[in-house]
Amino acid sequence: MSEFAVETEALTVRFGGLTAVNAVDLQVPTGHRRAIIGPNGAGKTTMFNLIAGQVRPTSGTVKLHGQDVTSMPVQARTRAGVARTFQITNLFDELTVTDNVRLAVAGADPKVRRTFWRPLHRFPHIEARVDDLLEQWDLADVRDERPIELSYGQQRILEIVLATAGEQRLLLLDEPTAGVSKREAENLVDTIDSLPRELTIILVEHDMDVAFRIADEITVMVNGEELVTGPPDTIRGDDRVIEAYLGRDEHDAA
Amino acid sequence: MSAVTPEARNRLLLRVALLVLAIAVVAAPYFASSFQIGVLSRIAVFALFGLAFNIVFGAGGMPSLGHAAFFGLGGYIIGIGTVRLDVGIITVFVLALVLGAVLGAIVGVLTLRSHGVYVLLLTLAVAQALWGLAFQQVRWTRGDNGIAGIERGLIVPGEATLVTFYWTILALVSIFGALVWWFQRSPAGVAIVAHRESASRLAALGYRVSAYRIGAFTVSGAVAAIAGVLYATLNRFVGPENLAWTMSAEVMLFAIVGGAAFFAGPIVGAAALVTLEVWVSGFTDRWLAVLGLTYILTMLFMPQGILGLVDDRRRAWRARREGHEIAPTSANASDALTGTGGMS
Amino acid sequence: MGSVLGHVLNGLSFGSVLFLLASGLTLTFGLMRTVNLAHGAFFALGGYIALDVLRRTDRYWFSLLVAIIAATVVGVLFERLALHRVLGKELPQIIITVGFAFLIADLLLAYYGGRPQSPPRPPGLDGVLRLENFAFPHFRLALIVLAVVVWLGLHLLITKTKVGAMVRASVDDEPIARSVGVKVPVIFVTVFGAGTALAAFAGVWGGAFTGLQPGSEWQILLLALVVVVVGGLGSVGGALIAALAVGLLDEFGKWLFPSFALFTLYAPVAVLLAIRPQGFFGKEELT
Repeated sequence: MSEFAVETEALTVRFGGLTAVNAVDLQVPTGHRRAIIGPNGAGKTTMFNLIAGQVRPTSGTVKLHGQDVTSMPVQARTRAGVARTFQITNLFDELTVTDNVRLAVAGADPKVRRTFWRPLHRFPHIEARVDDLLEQWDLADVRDERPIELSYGQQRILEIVLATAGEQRLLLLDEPTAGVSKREAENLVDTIDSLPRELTIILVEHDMDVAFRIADEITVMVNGEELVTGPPDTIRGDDRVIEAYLGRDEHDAA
Repeated sequence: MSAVTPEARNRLLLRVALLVLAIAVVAAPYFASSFQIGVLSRIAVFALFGLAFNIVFGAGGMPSLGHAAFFGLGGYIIGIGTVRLDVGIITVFVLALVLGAVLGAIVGVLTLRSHGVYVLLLTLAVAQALWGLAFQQVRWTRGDNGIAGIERGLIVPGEATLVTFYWTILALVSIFGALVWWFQRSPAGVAIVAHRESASRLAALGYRVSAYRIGAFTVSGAVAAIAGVLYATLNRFVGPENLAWTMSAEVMLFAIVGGAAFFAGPIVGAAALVTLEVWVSGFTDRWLAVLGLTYILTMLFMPQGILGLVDDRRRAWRARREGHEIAPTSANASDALTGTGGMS
Repeated sequence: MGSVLGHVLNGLSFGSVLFLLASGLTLTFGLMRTVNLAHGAFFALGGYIALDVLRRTDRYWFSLLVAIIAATVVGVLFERLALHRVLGKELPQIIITVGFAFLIADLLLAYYGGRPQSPPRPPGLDGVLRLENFAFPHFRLALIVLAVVVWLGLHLLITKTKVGAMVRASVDDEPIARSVGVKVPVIFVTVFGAGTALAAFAGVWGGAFTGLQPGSEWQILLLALVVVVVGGLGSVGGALIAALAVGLLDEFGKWLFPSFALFTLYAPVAVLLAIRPQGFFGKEELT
């Protein structure tokens, strides 16, 4: 078993003439929490999709726990232990919260997943886990509601529940607090913080405070390339990072 | 404060009403005319066809306009099998299930890369190709003349009368309808609905989305073929019109009029439309014109279907009781189907 | 060789009829993204009205004009009263246009009966082109020429004027289009009217080729839809090529495998849609 949960080598992807990610060597040790930050268009979301499998690289490789997954489709990576949330809330809006979670738990169990003759709610081991998860994440009160009837913060939590329901080893969070109210964001950060430590987390984040609070290490990307990786304190004081952001901020303000 | 909540009381009332309805349908031969029994048989067969169709349409969110292919396939299996060849009735049913499933799987594979109106056109093209075969392969199908003389007695255990035939139809429709219900509540069935809501999320949960799309068409095709067998038996006849695209359009209307977001939607829709047809035919030959108007008016004024209206009422009632507003969500359910589907 | 050439020309002229119908669909379906399954009904409506007026007045071009105007008025009313209410929603459009097509078809059947009939050929095009042992009617040649003319006209209209851009803007982003002064409802009803007029015209000229009979408009509509999709939504050039290809496929299918003709027509279309759902010219929008 590799000591790295995620390891990329010379990972590059081009869309037409545009190089979105250029020769990135990323190494995230197992159990670490890594934030990828950077100005808009830095390639962080693409990087994220490369790891999750939504985007295939033009060249280079992606390894998860030592296994080369470069050519694996999304669902195969999920089975290899990768979970993800989406930047825009992506839930099954017409199913109840319980059914959302049931599907997530069942997704990790090939036998259940492929069953078409027995009702989804009649699998005791699935039900037990669903009940646990709903309790643990304070969703038991709204279990019969549909996701659209929940607050946005609750929807984001439900996303994380779905992503981690299958006892995954690597969690990819795409801007978890985007669009969430300040108070709910606090709650969400605490929630993420309280996830088990053996779970490796990679998050793409716009909000610097959130990134600095959650992450053990931070990778800063600029123009599709890795600028610097280091612990939050080092990053905070790094001149290149300040320049990259300030340059961008001025641009944004204009 | 009584021990029975209004919700529980209503649920009980609904169950009693459904039970009474079921008894009335089964006991219909004791008080209905033979013409009415015929109408009920047609409703039952179309209801099964609608249930099969709605696995792909209402649950899966894929607008097929080619389901007549499965329906007609079933009809020709019993037509060619029992009139032209000498195949046993059990074999007919097995063949219908298997070939319906195989054709369904093929259509499922063909439509994997399509969305919205492209699914519609593709399924239509497949059905038209089969319709062309039925029309032109005269040696097998007798072409436009169709195959007449399908024995109703074949599917009836024991003595074949109008009544025993009706009961056989009811029993078969109930059995296969229950199988569809069972399937839709299974993990695979729920995943098919989930795929409609968000294919990317489903894939991220470890499901191979394409397998569930194909699965939806496979089960749908098999059951639709059974409905086709029953329809041909009911009419004692099968012809190219069983495969015509208007049949596909009609089954879509069953689902929409009843409420595509609901399991019982196609049943209610089939009952409503067949009854309407019988009633209208009583005083005019212009049934097709009335049907056309029904299409337009339903879509403009009742896009969520009859059950959608009922559901909205129920929610509004509950909201009033609880003293707060609950947004009607059935409108959203039908929006998921009828809204801006992916054109790209 | 003569017979092959004959079949090629036959296929091309049927393809031209398809294109005349499909050209209207490229406007309503391809450009406006309005799924219009009533297009075939306007084809039939145009054909029957022309035939009716012609029988009463015996003036061909007048009948043609009345048929086009009448069908367009019906189309415009239909767009304003029903179709416009489900703008941008595929499935309701499908259901509503199918319903309208049933309605029109049934009224035509009630009024004109189920007997196959066909509008006459335009005066002056009754002749036959003779080359040694090969004969081909002028009218069919004229259809092919006309298809090319209509293609050129639409192509210029869409690429050389702002019409195409305005329609696309109205479809893609209605509020923006409104804010820059595009009268969106006017654009929609105009484009729909133009599409209907083309369908009615196809009904009169194409009807002289294919004949009119209840249900036949569906056959040709399905083919025209296929043509628009295979050609790539909104691509007039693609539609022309696809129409001619489908016309040839139909003709040679009938000639070579008479008992499989319908199958050999639809099956390749299904396979093509499966492999390339966006059609062959789907990328180059607005050409």
